[in-house]
Parts: sequence; C-alpha cells; structure tokens
Amino acid sequence: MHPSGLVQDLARHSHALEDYPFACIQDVHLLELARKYNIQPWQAQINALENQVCPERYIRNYKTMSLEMQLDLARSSVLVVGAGGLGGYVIELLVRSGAGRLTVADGDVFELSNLNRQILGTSDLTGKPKAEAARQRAMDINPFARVETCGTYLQPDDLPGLLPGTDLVLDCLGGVEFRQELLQAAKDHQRPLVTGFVAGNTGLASTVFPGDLSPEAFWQADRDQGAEITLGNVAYTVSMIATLQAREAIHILTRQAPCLRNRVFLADMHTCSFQSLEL
Amino acid sequence: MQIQVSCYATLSPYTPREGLVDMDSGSTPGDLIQHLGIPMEEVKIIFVNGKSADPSTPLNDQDRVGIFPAVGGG
Repeated sequence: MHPSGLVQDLARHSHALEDYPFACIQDVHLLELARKYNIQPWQAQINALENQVCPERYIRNYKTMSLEMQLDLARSSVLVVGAGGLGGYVIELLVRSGAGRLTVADGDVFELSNLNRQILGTSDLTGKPKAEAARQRAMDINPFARVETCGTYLQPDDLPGLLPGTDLVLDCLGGVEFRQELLQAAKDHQRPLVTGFVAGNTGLASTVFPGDLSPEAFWQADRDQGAEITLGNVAYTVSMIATLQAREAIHILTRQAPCLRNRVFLADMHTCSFQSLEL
Repeated sequence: MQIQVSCYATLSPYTPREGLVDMDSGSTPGDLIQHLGIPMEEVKIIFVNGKSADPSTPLNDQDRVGIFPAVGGG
C-alpha cells in the first residue's frame, strides 16, 4: 500500500539517468517525501524501489545488483551479533549496499586495543558502547537504514525474541564463546547463519542453513583457548573475512546462491592463499 | 610416502620445512600429528585434500593435510 499521491510525487521528484533503465531519486528528495507522507525513510525507500525508482546512492550497485535485488535487500532484516572487528565491517558493507533493517547486538565498549582493526572504533569513542557506535555510523552512511541496537551481550534467552523477525544471522562474535548457542538457535528458528572467525593470519568464513554441516569443530574449546588469544587479530584478516560474510549475506537476501554452504572459506594471509574447504 | 602439511594459526610453527613430511605407508592424520609433535588436544579439525577428515582414516602418498586449532576471534 502506498500513501495516496506518493507514486505521483516519486515520479515528479525522480529523474532519468543516461544508461539506466529506471528513474533515480536523490536522498534529499526521498527524505522530503518521507516527511510529507509521514512515513519512515526506510519505508519511503521500499516505496520508491517498488515503483521502479532507485535511490541514486545505489546506482553503482547496478548491474551487479538488479533493481529487484535492491528491493529484496531494502526489505530484508538481519541480526548482527557482535559489532567489533567483523561486525563493524559487515555493518559498513550491508548499510552501504542498501540492507533495510539491522539489529545490532553487542554489550561491549571500545578499548584502545580494539582500534587496530575495528572500523567503528575511533579515539574519541574509547569507553563508549559499540552497538551505539554502529547505529550512529549506519545513520551517517545511509539515512534509509533502520538500525535497532541491543547494548548487552546476548544470552540464549534473548534469541527466541530476536530470531523470528530476522531473515539471516551474522555471527560476528569475538571468541569461541556463544557461537555454538547462536548456531543452534538459528537452526531451531530455521534461519541461515553466516559466520566468520579469525586469529592472526588465519581467517575463516562459512554459511550454515538449517541441516547443513557447520564449522562448529573450530569452536570446541574453552573461552580462553581460541588461537586469537595468543595471536591477536589484525585488520587485514578481519576485514577480508567480514567481506566474505557480507557477500554471502547479500547473496542470500537477494535470492542468489551462497558459496559457502557445507564449506569453510580459508584465507591464509601469511601466504596469501585462499581455499574453499569441504566440511 | 610423502605428505604435504599446512598447520594454521597457533599450530603454524609445526608446519615442516618445505611443508613436506615422509610418513610410513598406511599412516593416518593422527600419526602425522603425533609425528609433528602437536598436542592432540589442540587439534580441532583436519582437512585432507580440501575435505574435512577423520584423524584415523589412512593417508595416501601426496595427500595434502591441513591442521587447525580452535579459532574464534572477530
């Protein structure tokens, strides 16, 4: 359902661009229409895309992403668990690409030791909550994103309330802890999960649909036994794996084929060798 | 028989020189791990020729083995 008059207004405020088979609208005009019709910016974005009007900020997604895929993405809802190294980059890429709704969960605050790799962390945010930094960054990048935050560490009891409203889970946790519980909850709620896990020069990513093989063997350890405790985490490995996670998420949300089901992507950043291993 | 070995993350110091090791015919990944001196409890998953494998399945000449510890950072 579109508010009466919105369709005409979209046509009036959009413009043709050479070489694009659809009309485009600038942020300022779409935000104006959202105000005029008393709807949220994310809703206005969906209305625009449904009427073959593309927010101009996404035109370079085309033709890699069709307008239909852009609409799928605008309508999608993801749960990002962890807004640290992986989560920060995943959120950055999803929000820029046009993901409609993100729920970001992280109970942590930034420390100086996060700043080597966590894109959301800046000098002036030391001591400040990561979830709120994610929301602010998302709004700064894209006013059409809808971001909700959960500023505590998720507990198993929180998941039944969050998962039904989400299309996909991004496991961006730091450490082996809680990964197994999150995976199980995603499976119980029939939701796909895209996971990333890194230590030093070794980075891994995998996509798990209910019933798939999973990389959980990597997490069978006490919380203080993950290789990351010894090796630390470096920016280039973290951002590489977050990129793979965002790629998988965007493909799934736009009904394209994921690459990493029943597989784990291995980035060996020591030798620059990349493999997709069978689970 | 010759086996190509890569050990990852905290286990990478156990990767043999040139990544190659000679093992008796019929050896398993478990034997290989013992041969390299890797504490078994630190190994969480093994891949043989790009596929997740059981530590007790015998290896073949020229097999590629990847050995991983627990990894969970983000």
